[in-house]
Amino acid sequence: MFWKTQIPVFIVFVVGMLTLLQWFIPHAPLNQIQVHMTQWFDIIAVFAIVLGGLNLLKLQFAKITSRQHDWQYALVTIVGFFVMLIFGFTKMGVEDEAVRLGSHLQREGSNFHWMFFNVFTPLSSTMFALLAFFVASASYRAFRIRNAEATLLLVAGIILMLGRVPIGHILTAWAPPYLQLPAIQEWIYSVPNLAGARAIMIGIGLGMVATSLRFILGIEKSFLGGDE
Amino acid sequence: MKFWEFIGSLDRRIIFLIIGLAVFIPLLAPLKLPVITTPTTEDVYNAIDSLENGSKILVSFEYGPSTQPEIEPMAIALMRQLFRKECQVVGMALWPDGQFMSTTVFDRTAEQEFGLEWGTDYVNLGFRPGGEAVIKGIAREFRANYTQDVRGNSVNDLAIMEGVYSVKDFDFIFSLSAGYPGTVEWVLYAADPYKIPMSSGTTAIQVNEVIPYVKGGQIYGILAGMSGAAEYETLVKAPDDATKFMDAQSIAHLLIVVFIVVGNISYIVQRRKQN
Repeated sequence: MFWKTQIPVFIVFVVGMLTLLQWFIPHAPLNQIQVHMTQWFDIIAVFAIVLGGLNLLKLQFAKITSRQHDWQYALVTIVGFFVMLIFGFTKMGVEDEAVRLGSHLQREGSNFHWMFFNVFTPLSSTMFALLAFFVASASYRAFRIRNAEATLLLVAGIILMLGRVPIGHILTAWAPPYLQLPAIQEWIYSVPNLAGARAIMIGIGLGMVATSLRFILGIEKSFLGGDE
Repeated sequence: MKFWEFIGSLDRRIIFLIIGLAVFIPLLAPLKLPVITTPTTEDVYNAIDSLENGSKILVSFEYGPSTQPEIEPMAIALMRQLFRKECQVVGMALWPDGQFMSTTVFDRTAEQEFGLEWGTDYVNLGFRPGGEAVIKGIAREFRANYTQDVRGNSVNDLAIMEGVYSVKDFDFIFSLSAGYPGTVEWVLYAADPYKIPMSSGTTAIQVNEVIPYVKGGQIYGILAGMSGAAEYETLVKAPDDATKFMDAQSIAHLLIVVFIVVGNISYIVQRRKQN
């Protein structure tokens, strides 16, 4: 109980208070402590990749061993993981011996560089590009004027889609400037959308302050896991 | 009536094919639609144009291969404007793949187009993990977070880093952002607290999140997606990929609108029939 609950809560309290206080007292030693703490955070963030990697392997191996649906893809993931790991930690493909480990990732000719630009980049771009097709199909089937709110959303969406591209300007070039699609979409962005976005941001901000205080004061203990 | 029923239940593969052709044909046979600039893009251009020659600029790359077609054209146009003004550009990345994106952009502009010298005119410091903690860290002590560039040279040995000890020593920050961590974090932890002028180029989908900071005056303008990139290319007088892609995007957007309208006519006709 002491090691699993009270010590972590105490650490969160001390670190949280120090981080909070340095905003209000930006002088030594608090401002120096903050510099060190951001570096500690960087170091901890680096270690997170180990946890992430292990978690990925655990899940994918479980998929293969229990022969879950599409388990073959899990095999591809594991092979890809280890291939990139090996290419990342060795200078395979780099002929210049003077190139340091780490710098080789950026060096044209290294296997890691080749894999990144010839496998990872086209795959990522393809996945993102597929959105265009699915958005078109989904808007055709689901974007319906079922009620007043949906109609408002649909009209605003159409104005934004056309107003952001050159064809929107051509379509309404005959109208007075303030009635042209680019001008209307600019108004939508700058007035109703901005008001909504600010309201959401203020709400999120207040929520974050409340949640942070709950963590610092030990009221919220969900980060400990379990039912705490 | 049967026609609208048929239209309402159109096979999605037909929609995919039409969209594919609508994107592909304008890429092969450009329509050369005129690109009209908007105030938010003009603000970015003017903010950079008003910088003194030789200013030190920090450019952060927060995008990856999936958003490369949208952000890279603005990154290249940005470098062209900065290097024409003989600005010293320091690149960094908050995303791991941002390091590869920055390398591609620097290779194409600084090295191939302008023939500039690494470490003197520009440098690429690469990726550091930690998101906003990196921004907070470099805001106080730059060299504690970045000790070397991507080629392994010590930051202390780079001429361009002379006098740079914190983010406050830069004259301008530019965030090329496709999500978190990105533009919003730069505003919150560097640009606004330390009053450093800043601009941003983002994906179209992220504009909604960033626009409050633009309208609030915390960011000078925004390059909004592919259209923002095309407008910026026009202002920099170097039309390139984004300008070419705008034809395809225009036709695709128009077609999606047509799909929405046709889908709704079909929906209304069928609903009346049911009633």
